[in-house]
Amino acid sequence: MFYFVGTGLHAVHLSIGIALVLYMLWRVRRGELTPDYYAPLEVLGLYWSFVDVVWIFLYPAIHLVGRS
Amino acid sequence: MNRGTRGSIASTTYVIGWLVLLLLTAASLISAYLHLGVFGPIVEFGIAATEAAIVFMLFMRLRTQTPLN
Repeated sequence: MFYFVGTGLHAVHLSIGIALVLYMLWRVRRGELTPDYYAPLEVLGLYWSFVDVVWIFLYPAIHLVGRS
Repeated sequence: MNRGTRGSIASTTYVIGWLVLLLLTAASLISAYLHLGVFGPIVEFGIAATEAAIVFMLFMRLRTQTPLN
């Protein structure tokens, strides 16, 4: 149960993150984000890094515990 | 967003940070097979805390941010 809730919720967050990164790529291509205005990129980076930290703790909790 | 930061971080620093994260991940995987007993989870979550600190300080820019402004 913990495994499927943990990985399932994480998959939802990852899917949102991937969609947002693709959206930001599209905005950069359109020239909407410049060296003078790139706050959306910074904020998306914070979101992505947060999801990353969740996995950093989820990985030992579900894949490494009880391995040996 | 540029306001409130102290200097910029070289892009090579991020690459080094990423490589260190990969090395720590490998170390935690290896530690899981070393039969460390009760110390196994302690080592693995200790490594995880170190990895989280790298992400917070470098990739989430806590190291270079000034107090709220």
